[in-house]
Amino acid sequence: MKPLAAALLLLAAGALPAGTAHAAAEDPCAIPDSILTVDAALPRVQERIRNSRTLPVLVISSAKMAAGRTAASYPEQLGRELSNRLSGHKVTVSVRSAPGATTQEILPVMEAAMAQERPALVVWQVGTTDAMRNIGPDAFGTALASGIERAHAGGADIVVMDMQYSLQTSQLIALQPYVTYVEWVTQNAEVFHFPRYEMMRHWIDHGRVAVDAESPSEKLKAYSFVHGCVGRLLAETVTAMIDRAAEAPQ
Amino acid sequence: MTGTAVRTYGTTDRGRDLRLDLFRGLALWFIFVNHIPANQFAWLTSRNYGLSDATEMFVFISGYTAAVVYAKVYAQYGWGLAAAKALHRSWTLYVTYLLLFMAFTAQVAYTAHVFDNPLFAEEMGILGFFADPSLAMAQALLLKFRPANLDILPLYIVLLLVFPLMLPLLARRPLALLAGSAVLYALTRRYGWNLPTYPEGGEWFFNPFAWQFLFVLGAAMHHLPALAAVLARPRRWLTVLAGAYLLASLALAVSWQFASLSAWMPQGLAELLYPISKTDLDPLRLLHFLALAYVVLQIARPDSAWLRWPAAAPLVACGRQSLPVFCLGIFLSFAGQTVLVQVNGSLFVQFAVTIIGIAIMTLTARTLAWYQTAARPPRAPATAIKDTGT
Repeated sequence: MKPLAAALLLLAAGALPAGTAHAAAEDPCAIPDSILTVDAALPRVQERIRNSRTLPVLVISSAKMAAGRTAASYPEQLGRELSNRLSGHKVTVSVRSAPGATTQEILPVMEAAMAQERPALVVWQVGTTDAMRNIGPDAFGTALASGIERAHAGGADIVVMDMQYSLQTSQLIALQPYVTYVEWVTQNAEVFHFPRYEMMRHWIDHGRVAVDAESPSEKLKAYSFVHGCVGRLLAETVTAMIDRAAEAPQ
Repeated sequence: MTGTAVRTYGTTDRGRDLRLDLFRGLALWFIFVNHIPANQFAWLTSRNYGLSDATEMFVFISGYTAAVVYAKVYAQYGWGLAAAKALHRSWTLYVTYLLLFMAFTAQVAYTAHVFDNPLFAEEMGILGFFADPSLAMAQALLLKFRPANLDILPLYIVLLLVFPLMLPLLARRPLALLAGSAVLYALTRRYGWNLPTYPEGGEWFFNPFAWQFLFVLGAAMHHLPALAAVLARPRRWLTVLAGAYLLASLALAVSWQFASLSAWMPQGLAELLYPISKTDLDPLRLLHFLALAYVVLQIARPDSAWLRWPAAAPLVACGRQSLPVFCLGIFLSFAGQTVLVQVNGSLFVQFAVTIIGIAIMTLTARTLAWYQTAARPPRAPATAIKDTGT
């Protein structure tokens, strides 16, 4: 058994992500490149900004947002961070959620909201309900691709945000196959996949946040950390993609 | 009577293909490691280095060995006993599934406070999927309520359940059975057939209508040794082709692990390839498994000396006691994740959980092997069987 254990350890040391080396970075939200890389552009957002100096953002989610916490939630943080980064532009963020809706079920909600809000950017949080209800990953992928198409047809760029991660929830809900489909579908459609699942995993594994707290104040702390980081990093990547679109030859 | 049957296809080394035991043992280890969602050491398993994973390996070899075991009983004692034996195994799996369901339920209660955290409650609800326990319980008995990460168990249950129906055809017309199985696989992929789950709208993660093909393929390969030998014969061009496909798959699989690499993925290729359905056993996965099997068979010959190395012994031991070790492995992966959740999820604990789990699987396999030999009443005329072995 011993040589096997040693071999496993050696192999593992080589195979684990190398990002852990500079874990002592100051920013607790920091995510290594192997997880978060900007690989898409936002041409429609770029055009809207150039023409009207506005950035209307629509967040589509299957979450049930509690009234009292909205200020700390990622859509609010996203709006604030984007406004800071795009000074001189009018940034608005509206949220539409259909609690407990699958990706397929949320498509009409998204379409109605797009007709009303005319967003330049849609942030679409997907997958949780599908995983909890064992929706076939293929059907999930098809619905996701169709939603991306509809967003583009409605003149908006789209960013797809995957599920949340924790040790506890991943034991009870098989999320990984759906995360994989998000990666594939977004790659096919050349849209940005915001890897919240892997990001949260990174924060939890590196002790940046504890999500199994019992006390209400600790729970709120975890909530604020995750939503704060998600909002800020999302704003960072969106501005990076706007810059990318500006650099790209038209 | 049982003693006779056990002895006939028992654990004698003679005529037993060690490769089956070794690779099934390996698949069982991989399945154990992969089913602990938080385990970083899942990096070591084959699914990160190609399109197919341990599931393909396990289902194929299970089909092959099911044919070895039950076709022999069928030939010697008739359909009744062979069917009863297959159903007995299926029942064992079902009981394991119910046991795991109970563990799952207990774990739900333990982790309720996490779902009570607004961070998760907003998106996941406070265990909304457990809103009606009585209904969930009834659906679990019907294999429709699916604890996460246990999906391979129901697949194996139904495959063994219908295996007695295949036996007569498998024994007489294996090619016809294989053709029928291929047609079902093709129709399933074409029309999207699958079994439902609870709550409404879901479907089985491992579609039995699709995955049966690999199981039947394994079984048919046992009954068509001449064809199997022709297919596995060393050919330079096929080795090169298979190797190239494995390398391309490796590049693809590695690109999923690193966001920075997936940015380099050519757009047209992505559109052509994705999605690669695991639920419906995508042909690309099937092809990857076949290519892998071909290359492995070139290296692992029935008489390869390394199959008998001491380092291979734990794998062979586990593969030989496949059914109990499979059940135990699924249980241990759930228990392992529970340890990571309740005690500590650090890298060291992940490593310890992995090693201890594999040690328990190996120890159990050895104990079972010992128990089977020791519990058998001593019998003198062992020479009579020796001659029929070859």
